[in-house]
Amino acid sequence: MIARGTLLSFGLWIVLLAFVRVAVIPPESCGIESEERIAESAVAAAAWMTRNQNADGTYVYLYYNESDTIPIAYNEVRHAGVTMSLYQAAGRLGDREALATADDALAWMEENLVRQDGWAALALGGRTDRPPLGASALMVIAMAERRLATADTQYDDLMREVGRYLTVLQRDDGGFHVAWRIDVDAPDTVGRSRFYPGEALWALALLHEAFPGEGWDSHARDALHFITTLRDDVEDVSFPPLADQWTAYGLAEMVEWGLTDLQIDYARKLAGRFGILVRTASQREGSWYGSLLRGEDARASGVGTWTEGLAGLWRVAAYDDRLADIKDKTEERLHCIAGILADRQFDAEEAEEYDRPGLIEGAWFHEGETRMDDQQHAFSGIIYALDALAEHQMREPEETLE
Amino acid sequence: MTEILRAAVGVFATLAPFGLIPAFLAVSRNGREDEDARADRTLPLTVITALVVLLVAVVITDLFLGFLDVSPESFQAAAAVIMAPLAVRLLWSGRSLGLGEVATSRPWLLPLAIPGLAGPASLGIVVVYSGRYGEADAAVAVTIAIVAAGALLYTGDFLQRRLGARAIGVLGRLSGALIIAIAVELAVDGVRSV
Repeated sequence: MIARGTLLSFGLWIVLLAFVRVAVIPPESCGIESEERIAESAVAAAAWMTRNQNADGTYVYLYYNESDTIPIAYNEVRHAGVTMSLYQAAGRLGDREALATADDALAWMEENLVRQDGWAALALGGRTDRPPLGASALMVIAMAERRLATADTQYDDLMREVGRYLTVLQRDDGGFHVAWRIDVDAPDTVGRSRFYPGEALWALALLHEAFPGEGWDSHARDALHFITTLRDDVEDVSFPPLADQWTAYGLAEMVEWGLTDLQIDYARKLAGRFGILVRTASQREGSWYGSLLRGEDARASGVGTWTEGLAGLWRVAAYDDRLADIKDKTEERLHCIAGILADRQFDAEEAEEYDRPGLIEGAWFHEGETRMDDQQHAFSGIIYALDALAEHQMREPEETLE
Repeated sequence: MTEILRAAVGVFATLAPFGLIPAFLAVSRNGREDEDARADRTLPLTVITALVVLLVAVVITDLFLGFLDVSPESFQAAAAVIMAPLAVRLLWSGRSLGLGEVATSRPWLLPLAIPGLAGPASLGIVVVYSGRYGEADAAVAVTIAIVAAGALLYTGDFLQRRLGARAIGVLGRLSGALIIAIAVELAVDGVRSV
């Protein structure tokens, strides 16, 4: 005999457990499991970026697949970012077409430089009076990636020249002004950007890697100190640390220089931040009610940045024993999120259903729209996720292109 | 060793033996100084059954989470939610089982062992610890916690006589507060983990 109270108690528990299952822990799904197919996804993304370059060196910025329209819009920060990814494709995949495309894009950037007092900064049309820090930081990174992919040193002086713009904008606390106001010859002290400091950090770290002994490392260390101690407060981040993949790239570059306990702790928290984003994304994929409860899918540029961030932190964990405990978990998450990305990408068969399959195949669409950085971040995230799965700790390509 | 002890404290807290003492004393004579106490097997049966159930949970954690398609880190948040009703009940009444609930034909099984000791809260935390510390450490922690809870139940009559029912109730309420603290830690750790 079972008391009525006990039966009631069991009934309430079943209701609670059902609620927990649906609302708290919906099933997680990781899309494509095959690493080979995930790698194919990266190749297709690189092909999209290569194929969709305009004659002047810019890329197709936005495309709406339902209306088959390409709006007139452009952004030089994202231009530099896509170029960076193409140089990564050149180095990683031995992709000569990607190299040629990126070189054309780099030539466009050279044509759009603003020069003053020994520094150069990338700025597009309307923003030449205030060249944004992020565009120049990513341009430096793109050139550094080119140097790693080809061992060609022809852009070294330009790297230094653009790099000097980053140091001009660095504040005493290690943070950065967002731009230099050409009209009044002073930094823009009003504008703000959450991600520019991370971009500048990675650029400065790469400058030190390329030109050791020139002092770039002290700027990078100051930037990392700012990011790990002040940025979240300064930028009023609601859920710190800010999910910033650029900082993860920077940490991965600087881990060999030696990181403080505080910086390692920050890296751990950042990995957790990306980890929960990945788990939430996998819960969206796992069931029909997952997407109802967790909201719509993030666009590929967002998902790609989480992947890039985790991959950068995997390198930190692989190098520094203080994070050894999160290495395996990070690999699991990377496999999962790279699989989700590969699964959501439009393949050749789906592309054939559209008027211009060349703008579809290898792309990620969000509500009928793809933006060039969707392909950029997804591509970079996937190739570095594959590195982690292959235990390939060095970020540099194993062979350089002639 | 520190991790095992930490896990044992966590499991012990979710067993909430102080909250179980009144219900246990209502059906068992274990620990009392009379002839019936020796013949009463309620305590060993309760403790062994709960131990077996919790050890099975330790062993099947991976299988269970795989069946649910849930990562251990995500499950932590679920475990935290599952603990809440027990914590609220303990805070409210100081008891994890009502006296009316033990009127069953085999009270050592239902409700003392399940869900009294091996209930959703303790099962939840055992699954979390099995994923976090590994099966072997979690099994040792569960065994330590169950033995400690059994010892506490054995001395329940003595404690109630020496401290009074009200003090036992206060200790039960404190167990509820401790479970809330553990649930918060689990939820926060689940959110911050990779």
